[in-house]
Amino acid sequence: MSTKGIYTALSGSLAQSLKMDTIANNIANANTTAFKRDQQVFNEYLNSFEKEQEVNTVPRNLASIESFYHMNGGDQAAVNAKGTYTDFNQGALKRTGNPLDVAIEGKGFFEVLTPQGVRLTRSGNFSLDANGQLVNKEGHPVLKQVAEGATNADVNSRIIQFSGQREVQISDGGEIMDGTENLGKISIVNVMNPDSLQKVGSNNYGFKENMAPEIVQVKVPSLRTGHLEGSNVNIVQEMTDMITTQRAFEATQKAINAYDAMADKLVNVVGKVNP
Amino acid sequence: MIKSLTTAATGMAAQQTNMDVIANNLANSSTAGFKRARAEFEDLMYDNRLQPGAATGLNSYTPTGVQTGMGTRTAAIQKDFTTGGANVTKNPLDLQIEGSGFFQVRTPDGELAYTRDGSFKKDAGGRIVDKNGNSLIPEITVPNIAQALEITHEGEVRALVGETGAPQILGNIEIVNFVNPAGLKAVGKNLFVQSPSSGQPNVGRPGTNSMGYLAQGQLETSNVNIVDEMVNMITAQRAYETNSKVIQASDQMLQTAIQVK
Repeated sequence: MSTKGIYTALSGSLAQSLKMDTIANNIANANTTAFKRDQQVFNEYLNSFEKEQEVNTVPRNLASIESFYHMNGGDQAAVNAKGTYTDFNQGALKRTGNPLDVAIEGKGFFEVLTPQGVRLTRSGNFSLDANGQLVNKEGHPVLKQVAEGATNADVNSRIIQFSGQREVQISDGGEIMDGTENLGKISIVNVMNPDSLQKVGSNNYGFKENMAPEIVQVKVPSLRTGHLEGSNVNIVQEMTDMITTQRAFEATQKAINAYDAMADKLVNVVGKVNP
Repeated sequence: MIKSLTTAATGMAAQQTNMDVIANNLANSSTAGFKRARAEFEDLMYDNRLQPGAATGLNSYTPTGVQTGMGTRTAAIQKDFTTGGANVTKNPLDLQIEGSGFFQVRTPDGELAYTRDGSFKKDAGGRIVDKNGNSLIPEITVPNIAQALEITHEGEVRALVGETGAPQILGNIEIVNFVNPAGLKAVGKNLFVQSPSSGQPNVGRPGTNSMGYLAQGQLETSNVNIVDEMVNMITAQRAYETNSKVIQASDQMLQTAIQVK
């Protein structure tokens, strides 16, 4: 016998610890505007797949224990963190009454111009900066749609500039009004392949390399002005996940303990040399 | 595991800030012209264990990658400048701006400060001052022979003097507006000062440039909604507790790991 299975148990511990980190982040962001919860996905990793397929040789090898209990490498399997999935379900809308708080109903993202390029966000707690630009909480400008028939697609021309002298308003259809002047429509984009988005912090989403995001401009956005989208973290679910994670972690530790006890027997009982 | 401990700690710190803001709102629920604040949070950077889009074989890429977040932080404490209610006091020097705008006062250090609190008084010389003795700008002095004081919606201050009660124009109250009033810095005593993110003040007569008209004999109440704050307090407290539970669970997991040997 051997104790190589201890590494299988160890991989389980590491996986549960990773899951715990994710749950801690979800709970820490339970009050973050438009936060979307993450889930870790694990899969079984079989070392046997690394080997060549076995070919029966003639004459056959001598039968061994392994021939009868062929584990296909299952005894050497490990848990592997496969991916982090973001749950893009709608968070609850909360009324704030601030005319520059905008929540998206249904799918879609706002576009903001950061020094790293255009980023997407669902967090619509905007304000005006000293120059009258509509900016997010980081001070990065929010973008509007390219004007109808305009050939100039430069992102800087899509920054929303208010005069600061008149009442500002964003309609539920996305029309940006500076007094009675219509500045255009706020840009809402749909990402057909949400797996291509990557969280980059500050409530923003960036794009992954090698994956086409398939961005589609939403012509008529469905917004709620004066509302903010809450986080879609469900505390009850996270707490339950936390309990199962903690217990699974303890169970893998028990397995490590058991291997330890077996090795102890092997070394100190089986291998005991009588004086 | 250590990461989940610090992640939960950022969550607790954030909820603590949230609670501080709510406590200040509730404490000022009867302060004239007070504007409620709201803490806003955002997620921190992410640790990429497995780069999204990393190659896993010929022409195949991991669709999602493996990311764990580092927690949350307070992105902003946003002042909500919605108008409060009206409290009719009948005091001739109580003014409310019905709409956007701020009164200007000069603080003892000579700087201009801005306020929505229109409970003005007269000092010994008859000058119109706020509760703390900062004079209203432009300065207006009410003569001691004035029988009554009248302030129009547009800010014209008239005193009725003499036995005939002939109106005498004393001056005009001007109010200011900012491009981004939420960028003003609150300095206490119901005063705000200009900051780089608020923009330059635009001075004007009440009722022009989308600023509100004045209303004499009433005060603006605080715009704190007690029910809202109570609900926010409950969610903040529960979120705080939940984060502390995460710390407990992480601690127990660490303990289990330690007990293996």
